[in-house]
Amino acid sequence: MNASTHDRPSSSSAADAAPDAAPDADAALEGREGSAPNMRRQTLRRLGKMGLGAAALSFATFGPGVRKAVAQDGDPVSILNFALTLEYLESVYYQTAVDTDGLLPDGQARDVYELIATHEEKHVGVLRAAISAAGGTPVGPFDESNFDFTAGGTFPNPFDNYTVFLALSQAFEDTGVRAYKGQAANIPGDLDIDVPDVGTFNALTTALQIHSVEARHAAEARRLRAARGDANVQPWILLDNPGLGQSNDAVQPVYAGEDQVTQAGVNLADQLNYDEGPISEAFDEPLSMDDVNAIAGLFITDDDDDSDN
Amino acid sequence: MICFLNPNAVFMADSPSETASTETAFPLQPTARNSRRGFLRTLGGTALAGGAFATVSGCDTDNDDDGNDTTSVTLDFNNAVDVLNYAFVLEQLEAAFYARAVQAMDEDGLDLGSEPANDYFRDLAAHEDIHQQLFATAIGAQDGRLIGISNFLTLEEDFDFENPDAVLEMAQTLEDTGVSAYNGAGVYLAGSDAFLTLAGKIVSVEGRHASAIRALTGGPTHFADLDSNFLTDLNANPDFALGVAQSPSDVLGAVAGTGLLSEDLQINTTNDEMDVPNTSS
Repeated sequence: MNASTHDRPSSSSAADAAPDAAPDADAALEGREGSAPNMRRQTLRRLGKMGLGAAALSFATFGPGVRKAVAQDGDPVSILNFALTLEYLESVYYQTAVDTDGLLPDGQARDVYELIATHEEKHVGVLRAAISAAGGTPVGPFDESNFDFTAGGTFPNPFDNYTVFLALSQAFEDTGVRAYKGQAANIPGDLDIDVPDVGTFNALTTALQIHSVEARHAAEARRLRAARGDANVQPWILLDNPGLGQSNDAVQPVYAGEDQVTQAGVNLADQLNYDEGPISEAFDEPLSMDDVNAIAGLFITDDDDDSDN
Repeated sequence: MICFLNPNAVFMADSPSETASTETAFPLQPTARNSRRGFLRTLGGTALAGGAFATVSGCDTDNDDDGNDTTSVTLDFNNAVDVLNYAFVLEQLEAAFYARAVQAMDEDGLDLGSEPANDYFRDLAAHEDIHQQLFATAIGAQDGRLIGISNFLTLEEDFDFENPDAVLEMAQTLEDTGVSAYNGAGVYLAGSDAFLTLAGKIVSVEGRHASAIRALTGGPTHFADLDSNFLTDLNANPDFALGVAQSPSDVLGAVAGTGLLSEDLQINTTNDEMDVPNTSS
């Protein structure tokens, strides 16, 4: 395993691209009027454009539309909308799977994914409520028409082939875990959001609570794959190994940097009598918003009327 | 009366390779001994070399009514290093439990019922030991007191490590409690970005552990069954599929409930009044 072969856009180049930020995002955050479909189209376009480059391209190569997608640091609502977009991706993916006859084997797999689909739908709901209560405008709602789970044909048949479905499920869940982790430090600890008639949600705690549920999902998806012999994976992530199976190259960016063995400034591989494998397993690594958007963007479609862009 | 809570005393002697004294202060499970010793040697030789460790404070040993020595320590949640100590306590408990379980697998024929289950435990033993050693390092680098609990572990007296169902059930309790602890403690690390992210790196691994152990102990949806009695008792919010977040005092109550720590150790908390919201659906 060698993570250094997987280029990642540097955070500095992404930050450099940010200054002319975000009329679209601003509109969403400030509740500036635009029809809901417009808002959705704009958001998806931003994400979709990012995905086209995958993780190997520098953000400097992208056009202005991509720069709009860079959330402003410290803006909790844009972080929550980032999370909401990922939850929509997962929710639509799993609901489509549950609704597709013959995809999920009856019994354990169907039970598992019906539960996960329910969880992701609830995550969409709580994030939408929190964003609205915080004075923002939630992105979406998104449905099947907004996503392309073949990623332009890279994964030909996720809803016809359970093996492919599971591989993508693992990738989405592991990405989700990394995404929340990467934003935790950007969420203020004292942002309590009162949702009328529901309750008070501390933004950071809520994000952590969702994060831990995604981790449980990720472990289960990996367990199901391992049990079928689809992949040589454990519930935890070994180095930056996506597991044997098809489409490893396409999902490799999901695991870039997971082979980290230096924590709190200490190279644990040097300091402890453990190999790099278990050390890497013991820590999940964050992903930046840009890196997550590059992955998620592979699965997000442009609207037809974006064809002139 | 010696306060055993502070194993740093051995480090302060600036003789890190004295494994005998190290083990006196920080008794080791056999399976973890080699790695731990190597770690302590390195730790003493690098991170702690020449560094004066703060002496432990808030650690008192008294005679209570039953005549046993009671040691108490107070964790201040306004202090990020103490929040790390909170995590350190939990990780030490997990590490000791899994090390002892692996010893039972190796020496006493403990079989958790499947090859994946037995493999999981060996992995978890390594992960939790790595976590607790990392926290010892991180706390040491902050010149903080290090709250070692090894002298208060009661694994031998109070738990049947040859009973696979009991071992799995305890593992599930420890993992679920650990996840809930990190989820609830995040707010106390807000502003300490590196520590918050570090805690995030660990809590999701604990979540993976909890999921895997639960897959062994229940039905198909048990891995993340937010409606189950146990999680409901811990204030899960199934309405929003939010994992459990527990306050420090609730977590420490759950830890006491495991019976794996002597009642002679009392861990108190202060400045942890921040509510865990999200539970009032």
